[in-house]
This record gives sequence, structure tokens and C-alpha cells, in this order.
Amino acid sequence: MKSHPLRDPVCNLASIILLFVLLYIAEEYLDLYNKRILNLVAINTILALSLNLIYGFTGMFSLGHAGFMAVGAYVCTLLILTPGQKKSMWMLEPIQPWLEQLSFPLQLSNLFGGANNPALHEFAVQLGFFGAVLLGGLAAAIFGLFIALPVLRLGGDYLGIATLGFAEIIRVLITNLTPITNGALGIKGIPNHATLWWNFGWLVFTLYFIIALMRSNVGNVFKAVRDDEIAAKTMGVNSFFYRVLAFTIGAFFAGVGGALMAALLSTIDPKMYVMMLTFNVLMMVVAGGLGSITGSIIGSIVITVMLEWLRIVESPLNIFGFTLNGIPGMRMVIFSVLLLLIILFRREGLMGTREFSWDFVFRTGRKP
Amino acid sequence: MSAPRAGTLAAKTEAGQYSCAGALQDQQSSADILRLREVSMRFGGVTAVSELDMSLPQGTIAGLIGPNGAGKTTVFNIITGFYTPTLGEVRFKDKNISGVAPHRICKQGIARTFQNIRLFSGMSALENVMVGGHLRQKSSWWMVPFQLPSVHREQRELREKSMLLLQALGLEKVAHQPAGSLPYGAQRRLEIARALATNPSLMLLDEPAAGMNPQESSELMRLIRRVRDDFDLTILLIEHDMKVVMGVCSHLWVLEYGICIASGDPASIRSNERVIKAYLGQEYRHNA
Repeated sequence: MKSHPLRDPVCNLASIILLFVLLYIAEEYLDLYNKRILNLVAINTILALSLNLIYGFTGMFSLGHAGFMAVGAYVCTLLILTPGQKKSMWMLEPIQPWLEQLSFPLQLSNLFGGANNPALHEFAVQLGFFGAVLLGGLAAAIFGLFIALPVLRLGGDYLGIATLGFAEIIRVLITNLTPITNGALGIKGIPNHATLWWNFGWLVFTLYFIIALMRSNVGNVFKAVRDDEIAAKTMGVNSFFYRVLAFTIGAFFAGVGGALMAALLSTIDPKMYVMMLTFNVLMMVVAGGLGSITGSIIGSIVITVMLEWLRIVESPLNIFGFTLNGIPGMRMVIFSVLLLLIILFRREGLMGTREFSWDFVFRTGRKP
Repeated sequence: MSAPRAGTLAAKTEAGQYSCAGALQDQQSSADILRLREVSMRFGGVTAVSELDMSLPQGTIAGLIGPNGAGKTTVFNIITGFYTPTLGEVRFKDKNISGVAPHRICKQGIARTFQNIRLFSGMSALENVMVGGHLRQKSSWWMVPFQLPSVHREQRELREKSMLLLQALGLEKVAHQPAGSLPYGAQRRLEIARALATNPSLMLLDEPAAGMNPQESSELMRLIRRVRDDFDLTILLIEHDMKVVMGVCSHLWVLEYGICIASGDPASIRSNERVIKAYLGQEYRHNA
């Protein structure tokens, strides 16, 4: 029973088109709050996929995600702020002059002559944002590479501790490099370029990249390093190289996610990038299923939506005439209980290591 | 260098003609694919292997036997690069490979299986074999997302080649099942298939017949010979099943406490007093 060779590509293309049609509808008809949840879903999925590549597929317990996100966020932000914004915001210490002048959207706009053509200006701004996000990702990847070279000689829990330490080092650096990062004051008023289109566009790219990699033999090698590193070495796998590779690619997408997140929230400060952020992403990956791309997607959708939806329990409730005062923090308690249930009864996560496939869809379609 | 060495060793052992430096050492030539020269391995105060000399001619099936803890697996770990010998050198195809990283040694053509099976248990049988084939791939990782036709072609060829290997070992029906869920015998064969995928010229088998019943182990003997002929291999194996060892090996080395106490063809080993005392036991002589 062999399916048509073009079936899968056609189905993939159709679902991407469908996604963007839905996005168009969402962009037109949804209110700001719901749009924001959709945006968060996309960004969290990018982050979960990148952590899954490192932890789920290559088996490296890394807790450095917040650090990579911070690098991506700061690099991207510094590239899209206007010189005027930078000048007024750096109050503790003046910003470095070379950095003050650096503003991708503005410089591109000048280059294209966008001053007298609004459409061209808009194009330059968007292109500048794309470049800034890309560079944010690349900067995070370079950080990832430098951290990976010493740290990936460790394994297991020790790797987790070391990467956690590096994430904190990045945070402390950002706090203290005031002439570049504005220190503990953080950065406000970041232009909100991270629209549904950009976020989901990057999500589709991330998905494509990671699926292509995992379907090729490179993916098999990643999983081999995870399952048994000694056997992998015996099979001629340069396991250190592949661990560094997976870590660096993961760091790149974490940086991209961080950059998009910064542009979505429009404020960043060093305190955002504490361990909790890493654990949020880790939670999505583990709940969805370590080593499953589908699982990461489902995990981030469910958890992002639930984090918002559970806010109900924190606001005053009226049940059968009784009024309950909202308890702040209650949703995190419910969340912990749900996670405990997942760990107790479904340790492998919602999806395990299984993946969505069109075969499955068509099989269930045929059998009523 | 090696000639006087052989002399001294022969003088030390009572039965000179079975000494480790004997037999194959005489015809030593470039036809030897693997040669160990006075290899010693010490872990702190423990000498796991001491002054071991071995030379393995191309195309033979040879065996390494001895009681538990004699250092047989240590020898395998030295050859495959997991340990760097404290003294001495390992030469493979006339190149010194002592201290070279395991993945480089694999690339030069040495593959192995493990005593306690080490498959990538979360992956399918086919994927396991494909990992073995990754060494011979030309395209690198960054070409993959660009969907270059050459990458596609290579991927398809690798898949087909891996499928053929699975067929050769009778595993084609379970190609898409997770390796960890296969029955024991199939896992052993899958380990051999995965090792073959690296395109080796020397294969080290660590207790391939462990846990097999007599019928399975006689099938295994046929398989080992067939694999040697079909893939043009030299095979060195560790085994405790004497029927297998005596049946397939043309030359044997016997280790005890890291020291090679005898070497020679199966017939001479069988009647060697020292080997009987150290390993085979008197009963074996009566039965044989």
C-alpha cells in the first residue's frame, strides 16, 4: 500500500496555506488579547522546538535557554531602536556612540530613500527587523558555540548545572554592561514589529529546518548520540561535534525566539531572563514529549493557552452566591498539580516520541 | 626487533611452539591487517593487559579466549581506541593507531559489537544501520535544509544500502520496529549489521554467541563465515562457547590475568596443558 509520492508535499503546502489564511482571519477579527496569545503560542513553540533539539533529540540536559533568549533579545532590540530612543533611555551612563547610531530600519530606509516613499520606508523597517532577528539568533548561536566547547565535555546533570551557570553569567553581564545594555533599567518602547506574520513565519521556518534535519541521517546521528554515546563513537560518529552542532542550532533558534519575544512584549530587562523562563520552556517540552516535534507544538499550545485561561482562578469568583476572593499564584498551583499528574501517569509526555504523519490522517480517514 | 623478542618469550614458556609470539609471527608480513606489539594496559596498580603481541593476517577468523576478567574486552577497547595503551603500539594496516579517537579508528575500518548489546534502542532497526552508514556520506549537515538533489540521492542510496544489509542478516521484516523491542538474537544480528554499515575491513565481535542456544550458535557460526566471505573481512572474536570458537577460528590467543599464555590453532590450544589448567578444565579434554 504505497501512497502517491506527491501526497505529503501537497498536504504540507496546503496546511501552510491554510495556516496563513487562518492568520489573516485572526489578524482581521481577533481582539488584541487573543492575538497576543496566538503570538505567544508561536514564539513558545519556536523556543520549545529549539530546546527539544538539544534535550529531546540529542539528550543534552541544558538549562541555558534563558541566556540565549537574552542574547537574542538584546542584540535584536539594540539593532531596531532609533538613535533618539537610545539617547533618551540610557540615563545611568550614556550609550556607546557607535551603538547609538546603529539602527537597521532607519539606515535601510535612508538607503532606499524611504523618506519620501512611505511604502518603501515600511519595507525597509520590516527588512531591518528581519535582519535584526536573524542577527539576534546568530549572536545567540555564537554564544552557544563558545559555551558548548568547554561545557559539552560534561554529561548528564553536570551539564545542566554548568549551562544554568552560563545563563546566569550572561544575565549578570547584561546587568553590568550599562553603556551597551542600559543595565538594570532595561529597555522600553521597543517597536512592536513582531506581528502574527513574522512570528508564524519564523515558526514555519524553524519547523521546516528542524524537521528536515531530523528526517535526514543527521537526525539519526543526533538520536544515536542520545541513546548510546559509546556505541555512536564506535560507529564512527564524532559525538562531540554533533553535540556541539545540536547545541548551537538550538541556541540559534532560542535567540530568534528571544528576539521575537522582546519585540512582542516591547520591554525587556535583565530580571526577565531568570531560570523560570527556562523552566517554562522545559515544561512545554517535557509535557509534550521529549523527542517529538509534534509534542513540542502541542505542549506549547496547551501550556501557553492554559497559563492565560487559568487566570480565572486568580480573580474573584462567584459560585452559587458565594464569593471567593481570587488567590494570586493559584494558577501556578493548579499548573504544578497538572504537571505532577503528567509525570506520574504519562512520564513520556503527551506524545512520547511519536510524530504526526499524513499516513496516520489518511488511515483514520479511511477506517470509519 | 620482534625476532629476539619472540625468542625470549618462547624461552619463558614451557611449550615454546604455542607461545604468543609463535606461529603467525613467523610469516609476519604486510598481509597482517592488525598487529599489537608489546601492548600493556595499566589501571592504577592493576595490569589488565601485559606485553601482548598479536598479529592478525588479512581474511582470517581468529579468537581471543580466557577466563572472566582476563582482559579480553580491554584488548578490544585498546584496539578500538577507547583506551590508549600504557605501553606498546597497535598497528592497523601498517599505521600506528594507538591513542587515536574511536570515531577516527572506525573510519579507518575497524568495527565492533559489544558484549552487553549496545543498540540505539529508541530508534528503528533501519535507523540503527543508517547511523553506521553516516561515515561514508559526503554531504554535510548544512546542505540538508537546502534540499539539494545530491543530498536526496545520497539519502535514498543510504536507505537502500542499509535495507540490503538488513536483508543480508534476515532482519528486513523488522526494519521499522524499535531496536529495543527486537528479540535477543535479532538484536545481536542487528549489531553486526550496524557494524557492517561502517564498511569495515576488521570486525571485532565481543561474545557474539552469549545467551544463544546450540541451534542459534551453529547458525551464528555459519553467519560469521558468510559475513567474512561476503564482505571481505578479517574477524577477531571473544567467545566462551568453545564449540563456536573451535568451529570457526583458525587461530586463537589465550589470555589469563592479562598475560597471553598460549596461541596457536584450535587443535594445539585444546591439548595445551596450561590452557586446560587455566581455562578449559580437565573435563574438556575428556569430552573432546
